Amino acid sequence: MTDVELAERIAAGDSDAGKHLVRQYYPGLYRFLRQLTGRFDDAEDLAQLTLIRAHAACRRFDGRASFRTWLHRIAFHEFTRWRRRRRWNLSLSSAPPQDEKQYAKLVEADWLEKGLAQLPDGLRAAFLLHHVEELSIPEVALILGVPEGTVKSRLFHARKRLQVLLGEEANEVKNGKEAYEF
Amino acid sequence: MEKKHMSFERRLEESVASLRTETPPDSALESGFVAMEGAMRPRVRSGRRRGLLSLTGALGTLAVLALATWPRQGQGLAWANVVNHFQTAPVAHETVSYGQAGHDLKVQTEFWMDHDKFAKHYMHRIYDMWTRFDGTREYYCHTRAPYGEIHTVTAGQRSGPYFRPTLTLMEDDSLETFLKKPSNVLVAKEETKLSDGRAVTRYRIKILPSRKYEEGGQMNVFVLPGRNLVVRCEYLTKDGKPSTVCDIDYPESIPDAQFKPLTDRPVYDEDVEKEQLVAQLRKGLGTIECKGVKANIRAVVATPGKEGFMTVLWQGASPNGEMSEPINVVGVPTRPTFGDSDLTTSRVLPKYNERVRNVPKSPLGGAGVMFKQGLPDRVTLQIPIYTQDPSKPIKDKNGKVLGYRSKFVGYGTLRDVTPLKIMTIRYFNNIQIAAFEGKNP
Repeated sequence: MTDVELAERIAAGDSDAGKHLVRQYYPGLYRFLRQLTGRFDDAEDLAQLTLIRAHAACRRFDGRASFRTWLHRIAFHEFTRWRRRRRWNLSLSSAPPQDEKQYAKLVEADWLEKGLAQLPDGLRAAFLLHHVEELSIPEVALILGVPEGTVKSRLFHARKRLQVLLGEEANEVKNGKEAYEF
Repeated sequence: MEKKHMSFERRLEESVASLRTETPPDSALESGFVAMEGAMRPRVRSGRRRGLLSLTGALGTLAVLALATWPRQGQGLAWANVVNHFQTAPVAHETVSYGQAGHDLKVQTEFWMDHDKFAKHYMHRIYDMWTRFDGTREYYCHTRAPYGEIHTVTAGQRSGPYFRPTLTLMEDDSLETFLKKPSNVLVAKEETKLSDGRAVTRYRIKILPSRKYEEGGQMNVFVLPGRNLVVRCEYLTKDGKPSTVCDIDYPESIPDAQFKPLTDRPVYDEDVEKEQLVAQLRKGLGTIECKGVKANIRAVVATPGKEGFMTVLWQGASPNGEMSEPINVVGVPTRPTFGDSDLTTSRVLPKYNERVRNVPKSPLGGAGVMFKQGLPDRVTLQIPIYTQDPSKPIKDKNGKVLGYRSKFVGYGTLRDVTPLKIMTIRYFNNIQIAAFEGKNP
C-alpha cells in the first residue's frame, strides 16, 4: 500500500488502514515527541492529537512528502502549540521525568537527553529528527518549515552546543584528550 | 569497575542509538488506537475539531493475554483447552487495570460480551467513552473529552458481531512469529487460590528481555481448573509488581441494558440523519437571486449546542476559500464565517477532495457559521451569491486551468428557514454525492 493509498483509505473511514497507521507510525511519533518534550504524558497526548489532526487532513495528503515526514510535521506543529501553552509553566529542563518503566530503560541515553533538554526547540527538533529518527535533511527541512541550509546549520550548532553542555568529556575531547566512562 | 575509553563522538552515537530504541508503553500505544478509532467516527461537535471517540481499549492487554495463553510446544493439551474455552466462552465480563510505579492499579477498560452483543467502557485520564452493540446497532457515547464533547450518543448500523475474545487480536505478532519466539518461557504450573478464595491453577510465564520487553518480566495466568477458563491474567514488572491485570468472569448472562444506549442522554441516529439530509439536498429550499445571478439553496443544516453551528449548502458558484463575504443571520450575533475547502472554489485543486472534484453532479458550494448564543429555531439568512470569474483561473503547477475563482455579486435573502438539526454529520462529501447521484448515503 502506497502512502497516498493509505491516506485515501483512512480518509474513506477504513479502520484497518487507521490501525495500520497507528502500528506503523505511532511509535516513532511518540518517541519523537517524548524526546522533544521530555515528558511521557504530554508526549502521549500530543501523539494522539497528531493522529487526530492527520486523520482530519488525510484527504489533503498528496504524496509529495512521505507519510512519515508529513506526520512528523504535524507532530512538530502540535509540539510548538504545546510549547506556547506551557511557556508560563515549567521549562523543559525542570520538568520532572515521569516514573515510568520506559524511562528507566533509557538510562544510557539520559546523558544525552540532559543536554538535549537544554537546547532551543529548533536545534533539539532538528537533532532528533535527523539523528534519532534518521530522516534526511530535506525531510527535516520540510517538517520544520525551514530551508535545508538552516537545518544543516542547526545540526551543526546542536552538536557543538551538546559538546559544550555535556561537560567534562566534551571539554576533554575538545582539548584533544580522551574522555572516560566508568 | 572497568574503565572504558569513550570519546564524545562515540558516546554521542551510542546514546543516539539508545534513543532510537525507545518504544511507547503499551498504554500509550493503546491510546494511539483510541485516538485513531475516535477520529474515524462521526464527529460529535461543531467546528473543525475532531472528537476523540471510542477506543480499542484493552487490545494490547488482550494481546498479552493471548500471548500468554497460546499453546506451544512443550505446554501440552491443557493450554489448548484453556485457549479454546477462552475463545468460545459466549458470555464474559472483563476489567483491565493498569498501574504505574508508586500507584495502585486502576481500572481503565471494562468489557461485557454476551454472544454477539458487546459493550466496552474506557476511562483514562480525561477520556470517558462507551461503545455498545446490541446485536444490530452500535451506540457510541463520549462523556468527556479535551474539547468538551459531552453527552452524545450516536447510533449506527453494524452488520455483525463487534468483538470476540479471539487470538486474532494479537496485533503485533503473527502466530508464526509468536510460536517461534523464545522469550516466553513457561516456568511453573501450580495450584493456588485467588484472594476471593477460588481455587485456581497458576501458570507462571517468564518473559525474557526482548526488544519489546527490554527488562523482561513475568506473566501469571490463573485458570479455573474445572472449567478451563482464564479468570485472571497479570503482567508483573521485573520487580514483581503488577502493571497490567485482566480479571475475567463468566456470568450466565448479562442484562440487555448493558448493550443499549445510556438512558440519561439523547440518542442521535446517524442513519436517520443521513436520510434526512439526503432528502433535503434532493428537494432543495428554493432559489435566491441578486442582479440576475441565482443560487439554488439545497440545505441549511445546524447542530444545536452551547453555541450552535450552521452550514448553508447551495448550487451555483462556490465561495472562494477566503470566505470574504460572511453569511449574515438577521438579528442573531455570529462568529466569522468559515467553510470546508470542498465547498469552495479551492476544491478543484489536487490537494483537496478528489471524490467531489470528480463528481460533476455534486457541485455544492457552501459556508458555515457559528452562533455566539445558541442556535435559533428559525433564521433569516443573507447569503452571498457569486458568479464564476473567467479572469481569475485556478491553475495547477503545470499551468493547466482547473477552474475559476468566483466573483461576489451581492446578497440574496432566504427568509424564515428552519435549519435541519443534525448531530452526527460534519462532512458533506459522501452525502452530497449520494444525494445527487441517487445512491444511498
